[in-house]
Amino acid sequence: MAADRPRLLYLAYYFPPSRASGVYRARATANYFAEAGWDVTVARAPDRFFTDVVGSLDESLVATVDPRITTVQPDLDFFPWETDVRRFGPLRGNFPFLAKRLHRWRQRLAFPDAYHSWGDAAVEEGLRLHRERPFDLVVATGNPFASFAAAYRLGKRTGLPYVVDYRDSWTLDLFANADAFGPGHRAWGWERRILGGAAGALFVNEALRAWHAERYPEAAERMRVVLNGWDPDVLAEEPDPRPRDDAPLSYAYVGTITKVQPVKPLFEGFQRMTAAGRHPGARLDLYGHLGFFAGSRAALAAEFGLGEAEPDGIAYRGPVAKAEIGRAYADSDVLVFLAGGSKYVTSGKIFEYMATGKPVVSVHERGCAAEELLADYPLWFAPGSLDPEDVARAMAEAGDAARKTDPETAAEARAYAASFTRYRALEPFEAWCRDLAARGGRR
Amino acid sequence: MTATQAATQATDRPSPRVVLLLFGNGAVKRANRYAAYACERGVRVEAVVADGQRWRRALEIHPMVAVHSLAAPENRLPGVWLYETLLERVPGGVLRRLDGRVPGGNAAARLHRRATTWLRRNVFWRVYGPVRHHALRPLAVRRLARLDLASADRVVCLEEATVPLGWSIAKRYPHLAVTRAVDPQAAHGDLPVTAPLEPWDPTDPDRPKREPYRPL
Repeated sequence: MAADRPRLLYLAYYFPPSRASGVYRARATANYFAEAGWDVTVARAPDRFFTDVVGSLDESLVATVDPRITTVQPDLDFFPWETDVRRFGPLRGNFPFLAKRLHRWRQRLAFPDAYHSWGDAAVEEGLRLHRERPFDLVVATGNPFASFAAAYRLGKRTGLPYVVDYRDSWTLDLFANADAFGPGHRAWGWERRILGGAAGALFVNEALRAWHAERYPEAAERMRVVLNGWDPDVLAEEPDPRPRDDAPLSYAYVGTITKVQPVKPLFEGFQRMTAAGRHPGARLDLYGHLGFFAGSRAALAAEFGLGEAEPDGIAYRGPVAKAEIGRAYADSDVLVFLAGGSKYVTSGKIFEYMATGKPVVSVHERGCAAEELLADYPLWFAPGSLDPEDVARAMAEAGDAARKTDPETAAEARAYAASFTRYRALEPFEAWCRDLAARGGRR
Repeated sequence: MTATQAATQATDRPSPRVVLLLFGNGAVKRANRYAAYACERGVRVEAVVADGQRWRRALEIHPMVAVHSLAAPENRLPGVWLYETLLERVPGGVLRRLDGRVPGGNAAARLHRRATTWLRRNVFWRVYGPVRHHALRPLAVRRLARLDLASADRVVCLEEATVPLGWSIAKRYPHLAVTRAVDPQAAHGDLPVTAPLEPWDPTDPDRPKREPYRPL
């Protein structure tokens, strides 16, 4: 290890300017390590992937990355996403079926992930940088899990210790609570190899850690939980927790809306509450993108009726730049925690919600991992089920709490949330990494 | 409103012009979705279709789309023409005439129909299917001048088989965007709806008649 500044290679495909939901954990990790004295190099996806393929980026996020961090963009083979025929090249342009077959054949031999070419390039780039000035540690965050394979191969070729951060789950389908791949799929072998060689593996909640520990007992002792958290720079402005006495209540959901979330029960519950005369004039504001990809916007808008004629009292406010999110929270009286999935899903948004000190009403299946965190939050309201009647009751109770909340309760709520900043969660991880780097790869 | 009327109206003001390429009937639904979205936003949509073969059960293309057909030149391709003439049309015609005039004529005609169906599926398409898109490309390229692609803005390859034609077009018209992106929202989502269209169902027997496909 270098005498005073350990070097970290951080393989984070989704990193600013991407606005993907996982970006905030990656950004906080890189920033925290840079602030803690590490020399951080981040390998991220090429800009073209964010602009041309997913069409989702937030340039304002780039300014929030520590200027001491070096960023590199290993190449990606755009074959699966390329739509510009001019860029196809003579083989694909003239023989598209043959080119596709060749591509599939190459995929069969490579790491089972559409992004494997980026992983290959990240290994080459990592080796080049390592030759110039050696790294002390490699940390990879997935998805995509090609970053895990890249960390594994870098570890093999250089002897560097590597840590894999399961920001998302790979072989577990979080929404179906079932294996994501059939028996015999190559992903299982790769995961076993990667975890077997890793100096550590991180998970966002205990349920996920336990699932993996049970599957891979040989690596269980190196598995840890690093919770998500909220970013203080996003909520710099402390929202006033109390609604104005005369104004109708504003319920808000802030975050990306996807088809796995129980949007329809939320709408029905909200409409039943207002139809029953509870909190007359209340409105439900939805802030955020519709889907993670530009292409999914129209389909989701149509599915949830968020086009030109929206349901009564419900307004889709569109995406909000990260710098403006504090304003969206300040304009809201009750926050709706809308989450899809199961006991393995925490959703990073919940930390931000708690940090506002406002009433939070849950709209998700019972047993969601976030419930463990919300249980001690003094202003949490959970319906017994996703039945619209139950949702309406919980929303009404949360509305009552918003009207009555005293500054002490709000302060108590915020104090509870203060222990869940991203940096708090990263502190022990950074110390552990420093120790790993000092030991030079030995577990 | 017919495609011609739409095109006439469109000459009053400049509006984007898109040409869709589709060789198989499986892409018709995609073409109709594209057209329904784009035409509402004032985009002039045209399509080049290869409706000479395997198109009998195809859905109709949206009436707002001016369709250019490659059916005649495809059916005149030597291999296709010889196959159809020697194995289907001539024997079929002879057997139809014999039907009722000679004993067993009806059975022979039935047998021939069965045989041609089997041969179509197991011989003709096995041989012709994999090279069809290569056979169609030069036919379309020779007729590109009639499409006036110099005044078009975008060519959309709605299926993989049309990529070779799209590639040739891209080489000949450097200003054109030639793409496999079939989502009309990505291309025209920024345009306001200027002419809302009535829902149109190609399976509705009472749907308004569209003008026939024009030979390219």
